[in-house]
Amino acid sequence: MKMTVDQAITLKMAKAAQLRVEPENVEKMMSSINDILDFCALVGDLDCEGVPDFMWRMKKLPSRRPDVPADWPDRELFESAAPVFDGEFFKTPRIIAEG
Amino acid sequence: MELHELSAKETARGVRSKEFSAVEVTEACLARVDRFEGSVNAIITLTAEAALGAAREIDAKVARGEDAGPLAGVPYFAKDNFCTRGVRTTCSSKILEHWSPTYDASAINYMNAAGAVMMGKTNLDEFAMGSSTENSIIGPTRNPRDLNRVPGGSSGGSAAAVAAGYSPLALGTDTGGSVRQPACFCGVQGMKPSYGQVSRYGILAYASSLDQVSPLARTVEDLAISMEVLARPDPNDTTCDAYDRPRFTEALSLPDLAGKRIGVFEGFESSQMDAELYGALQRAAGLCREAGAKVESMDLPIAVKYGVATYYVTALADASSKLACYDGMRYGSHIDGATLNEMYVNTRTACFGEEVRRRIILGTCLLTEGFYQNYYGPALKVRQRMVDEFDELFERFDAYILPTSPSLPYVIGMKETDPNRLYLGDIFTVPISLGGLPGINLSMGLNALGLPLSVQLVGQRYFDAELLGIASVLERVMGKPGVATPGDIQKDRGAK
Repeated sequence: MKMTVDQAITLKMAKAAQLRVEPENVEKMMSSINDILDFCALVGDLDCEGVPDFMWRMKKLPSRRPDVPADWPDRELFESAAPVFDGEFFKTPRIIAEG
Repeated sequence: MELHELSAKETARGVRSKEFSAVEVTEACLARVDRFEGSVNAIITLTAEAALGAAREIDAKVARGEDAGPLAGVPYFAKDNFCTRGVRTTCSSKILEHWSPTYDASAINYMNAAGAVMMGKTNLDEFAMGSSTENSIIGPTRNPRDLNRVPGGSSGGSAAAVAAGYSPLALGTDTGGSVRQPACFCGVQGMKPSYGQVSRYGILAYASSLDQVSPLARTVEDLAISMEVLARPDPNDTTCDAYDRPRFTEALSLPDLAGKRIGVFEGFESSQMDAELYGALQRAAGLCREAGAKVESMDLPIAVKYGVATYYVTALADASSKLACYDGMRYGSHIDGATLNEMYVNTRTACFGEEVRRRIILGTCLLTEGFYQNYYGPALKVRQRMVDEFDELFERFDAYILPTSPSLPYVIGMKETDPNRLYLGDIFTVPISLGGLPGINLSMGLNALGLPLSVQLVGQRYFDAELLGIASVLERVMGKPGVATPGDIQKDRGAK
């Protein structure tokens, strides 16, 4: 079934994706999403009664690492990649807004 | 023949036999970069000093009589979505503009262990989301065969590097055609292996159920050598199959196509695609017949009609979850905010480009109640129907020939504004990705304007070696693509 988004859903989806859509761009974003939803609704047209969901079939079992604890190599290197680090922890803003 | 024109095999042989040194080859390729990169703009980060250092190590190994590997001294570039320890890896995005990974991707490890010399990182559409390599923090890459035109994408920088003679080999990633289509536009050979053949560990994902590490080269033999280096089980990637791969180069001894059954795709009207590319398809069919194959026409009605829609539902849903890791906290760019959520939103909004933001929002939408039942769920079932369609056809055929792209490379800036029409450029490549099948873009020479023509060969899943064998038979007749000499940019040269 073909579906569309309105401005409110567009903003709700952006929020869920941790993105902001500026008010002047909402209409354009909504419109392009609806264009693609309109095209992609084609997937509902094919008769798939009784067809299982697609799942990758492997030739053999996948490669797996041994399930044993391992050291983190180069801890300082990982820490150095953090954009804001206070010497011991990743530095975050307040998690809950005041008020 | 000059050093930058050699194939990977010829280069490694020459380095191992001390006919020339790895340093000389590296310098020849760097000179090529120095001469043309101002026009082509294929490279995001050039690692010249590190490359010369690695080349010196190879030469020292050779001097000591040690085995320097099957790719001894062979220069290569990697798309800038492969993690490279200590070397900036941007994905062409502001969100990773200054980020250097702490480890190498498995594919990079395998190439380096085989003696190959990494020269740097190549341009792509941001997070591999695009088909033209125009959507990048460093601006568009230009096609070395005609600087007014796009190189294709998203691995356009890697394809352009191979075509321009910067290196005989390059690594890209192919999600829905991102190596085969730029190989087609730049006139080189490019192979997307079967899903599960090559480890994706250390690849910055776009869509994990589709992404595959894929080599580009100027010869089919170099693709086969690359596959021998790249395709192996990797405990760091559970989607990488644990079985012993065949010797891909042994398949190249196939003398002809006697006994092979080849399907030629006829499921469209010739008016739906460029006439010269349609002609290339017919020519390839004729060559298969002359080589002894039984050639019949075939169709893929489900894959062609539903493939692109299925691909976009699948890929965008994958992307929305994969790109959630870019939060401005653990690595990458960071823009502060009063709260944690505000910091996430500020960082992601300012540092993802418009197309990436649109795809993430759409992918998020597709995974929510209602949209999931009407789009994502049906797409999973349609994908299974497509796999069943492929399986049925492989009872009749050993391989298919399809177009890679319905059009020749288009002029830079001629951006299609209707995203649905733009996505239809992928109509012949995305079904192959959805089926997990191996596909090779095989160069079929140049047209009168010097623009590349090519076809796509498709094989059964896990039959990558057999497909390389068929490609090598056709390449023997067609000839190997040469190195392009990028000329002047002619701003008034219109699209064909």
